[in-house]
Amino acid sequence: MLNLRKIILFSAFLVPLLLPAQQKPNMDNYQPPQSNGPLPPNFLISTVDKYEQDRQKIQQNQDKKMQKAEDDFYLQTNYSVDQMCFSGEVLVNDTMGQYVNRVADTLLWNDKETRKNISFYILRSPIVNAFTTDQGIIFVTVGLLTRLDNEAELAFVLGHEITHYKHHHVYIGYVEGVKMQQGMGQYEATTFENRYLKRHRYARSQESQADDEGFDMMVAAGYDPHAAIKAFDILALADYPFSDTTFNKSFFETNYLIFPSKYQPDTVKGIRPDNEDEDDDLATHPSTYKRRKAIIHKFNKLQDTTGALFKVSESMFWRVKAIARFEECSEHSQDQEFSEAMYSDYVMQSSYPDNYYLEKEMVRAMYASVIEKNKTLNLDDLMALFQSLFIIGGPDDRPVGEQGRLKGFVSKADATGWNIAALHYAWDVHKKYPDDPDISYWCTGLFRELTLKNKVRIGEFEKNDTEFVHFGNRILKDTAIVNHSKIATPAERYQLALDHMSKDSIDTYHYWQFAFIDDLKDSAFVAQFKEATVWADSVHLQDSLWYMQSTRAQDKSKGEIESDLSGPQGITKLVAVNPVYIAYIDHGDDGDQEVDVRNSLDGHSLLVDEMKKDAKMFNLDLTLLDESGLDTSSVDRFNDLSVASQWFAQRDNYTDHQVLPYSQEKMKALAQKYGTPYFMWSAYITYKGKRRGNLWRALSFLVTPLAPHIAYRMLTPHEDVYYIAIIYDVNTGYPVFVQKTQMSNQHENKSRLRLHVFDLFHQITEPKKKKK
Amino acid sequence: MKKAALIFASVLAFHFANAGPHGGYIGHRIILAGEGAYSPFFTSVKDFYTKYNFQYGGNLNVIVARRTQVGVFYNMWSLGGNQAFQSNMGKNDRVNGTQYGLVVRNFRAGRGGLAPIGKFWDVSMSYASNTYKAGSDNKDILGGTPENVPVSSNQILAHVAFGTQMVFWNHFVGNTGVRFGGPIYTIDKNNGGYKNFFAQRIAYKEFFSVFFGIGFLI
Repeated sequence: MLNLRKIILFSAFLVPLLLPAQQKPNMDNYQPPQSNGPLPPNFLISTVDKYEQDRQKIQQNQDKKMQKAEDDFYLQTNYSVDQMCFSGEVLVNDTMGQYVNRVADTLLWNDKETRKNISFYILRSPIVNAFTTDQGIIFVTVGLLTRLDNEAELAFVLGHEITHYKHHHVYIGYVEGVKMQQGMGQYEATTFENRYLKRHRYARSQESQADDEGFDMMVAAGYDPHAAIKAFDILALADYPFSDTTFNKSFFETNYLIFPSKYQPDTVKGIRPDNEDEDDDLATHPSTYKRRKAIIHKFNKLQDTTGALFKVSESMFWRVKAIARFEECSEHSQDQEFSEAMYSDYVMQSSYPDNYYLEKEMVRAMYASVIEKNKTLNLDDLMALFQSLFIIGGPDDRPVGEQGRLKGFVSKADATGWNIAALHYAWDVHKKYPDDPDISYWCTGLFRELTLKNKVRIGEFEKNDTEFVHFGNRILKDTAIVNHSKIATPAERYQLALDHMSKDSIDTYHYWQFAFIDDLKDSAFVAQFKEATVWADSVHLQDSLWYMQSTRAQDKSKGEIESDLSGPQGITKLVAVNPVYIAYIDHGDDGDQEVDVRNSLDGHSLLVDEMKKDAKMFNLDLTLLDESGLDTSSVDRFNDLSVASQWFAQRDNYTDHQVLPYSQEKMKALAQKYGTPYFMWSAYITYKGKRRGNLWRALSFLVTPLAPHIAYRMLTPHEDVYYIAIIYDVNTGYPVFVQKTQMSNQHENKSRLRLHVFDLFHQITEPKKKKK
Repeated sequence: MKKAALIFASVLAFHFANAGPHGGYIGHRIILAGEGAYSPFFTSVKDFYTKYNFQYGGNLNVIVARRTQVGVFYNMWSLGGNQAFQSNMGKNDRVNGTQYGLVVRNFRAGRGGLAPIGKFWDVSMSYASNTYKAGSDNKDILGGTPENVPVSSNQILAHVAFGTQMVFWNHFVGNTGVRFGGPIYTIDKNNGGYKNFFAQRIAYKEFFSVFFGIGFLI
């Protein structure tokens, strides 16, 4: 065991030495990836048609339960895959996807039949993952591509996933799960715990088989087998960022804005792989240690351990990796992980300084984190509260890695100081790229956050350099700790002065008051600051009203939330983005919910039909931006759907009065393209579950005159229905119409859906009433 | 009653003249329905025991706003008589009632209601007339004093109801709920005596009922 550990350790350190030097592609004119070329057939066939095709494969001569299980499998997998494909997160035929497909071509050079049935797509996610579907679609995440060191590692991962597909592991896994649940086949006559263990043992055997054959596949294709061993490092470090570059708060500082040193954690824990040799009895995958050990075992049996690290293209690999890392900065922001976004950006800026895209993404992430920090009770505060209440002094609560250091810094920095740092950074970037409307827009947002939330006025910054120098000198003189004349720069003296102030003093002292000494010489900066102040003074009342409105909305938990955003809108042209209909089944106390796919598909079909019909009735020019009606040449529409879906996902996170911390420009372009600024997000969701409290009902049945009603209640399931429709003017980013209806304990049926869609279209097309 | 119907028709005509082709259930705004109501308690009419108090009738409703429908209704009932202590009623006696009224039904925004679907509450005002029809075994009739038997007892009623209404297959409307209320004003003025006493005995005294309705969207 010890020897093997040494080999593993050795291989982990040796292989990087064998790696070629990283290339640094030119990313000056980087544009975020988008889908290209003809849309593949997977995107053109409806879920129902795919399901109908697949169910022809079900063998009729087998047990009825198994027939049903297979039928459910084809329905659920086709539905899930299509939901994923049209979520806006999938890239088709982009640079990363093209490269991955070419590596797959190399791997399957002698198996054209399998290659024909498999397609690889990139999933916009920072999570390190790749996964296979029974339909032959294999998703590779952006997060995985950021971690790779060479093409051979990718080849091993793809070989692993291809093996899953070739052996129908997804399908078999599902069927085995059903057998286990029902105690059939090998799971007969044993306890549930044993069945569970057996099922997971079986899943682990599938993973081992995928590793085994994936390794053979990459070796057969001529790739360097060392890379397979190294690939497990990616797995072991998957929860950490793609780099552990040292973070220093000076990145966010200037000559006149210096944060107290206590804001930055002194020490951090080093990044260590997760426990590779963990007990995997209850896991679907063998432990990383066992997997690596098995591959080393195979490796040792090889006659020839040489091979190529790159076969398709080394330069293309480095370009793809750089794209993935650029993209990850944005993905973290999209997922509301702003510290992670800033750290990825920080790391990339060390390789690509003055890069337009990275600087812009940094402004975006900083602005978003300012909004988060300025909330009355933000997530960091909640976590700190939770830890103080329930976690009593862990042995080592230092942050992990350099990303942890940045996170710790942002968390400890006070809201005003952080807002000022973000504004200063954003203003610098704005001056470099004055024509970028997004950066300019975010600067406005940062000014507004500073004046409205942090209540800071321009007068507090009207300082000069002499005062700055004097302050540092005075404190040092007062404390008499060091001879200040020996400290080289005023900034260093100021830092030292801050660090020698008492905790109470530092908490009340406005260390940021000199931050804008240079910026205040810029008349545009002053003008915007003053403009934001006027705005902040004028919205205090509106803000309070908004707060009350929001409180009212929360209190009124049932039913439609009435507000100024309901009622006639006089809209004549509308784009409905991916209308959603989902029927959930609630399985009970454990909160386990499952999508009722059949009802969801039926409901969605009805919803779309009604929308089309009602649009015609109300003379509404409606464009449905969804998966329907696509053909091979519809890639632009597919990209539009992606832009709009991501925009809506972001929009939902912010309240109305804020400048939104994501790009408005893409949506404005869509508004121009579709001839209307009105884009609608709508969702119709039902939850059906067991009715609780039937015992009391049964008792009241005996004494109450409402017997028929009670009997009806007892015989029907509990159901909650939610209808949501929000229309945004995407030019401003603000909603113009909001309809949220919650119907608790009421049954969904077609008539109710029809009426609500009809009413919605009635409302939005009805001419606005003139205000008296 | 004719006057009331005329006023209601005028209101409808005005409404249709001023409204676009919208509203209601995907454009349908008139509901013609039948309704049955039963009293879950078996002793609803004092001293005049009913075997099962059941009312039935029809109504015409129009959806006039996003969450409101108004309508006219007509109900009738026929209660079987029974001998009670010292009663001079015969077991074959009946009280036949009719009721005309106006109802305003409001679909509850707080529960996601939109006319004509969802949880609702309604208020109704109506005129009810109970007519006594003596059976062949009636003592008064037999005793030769038919003048003691009043022809009818007429009252103004007010009710409030809570229920739920659904549409099925685009054209059928179903509803159910509970209704509370009763007479608020008695029109007949019998100056005391036996006649007055008798009128009170046959007067409308249904305070709580459960109703079911089935109708068509037009």
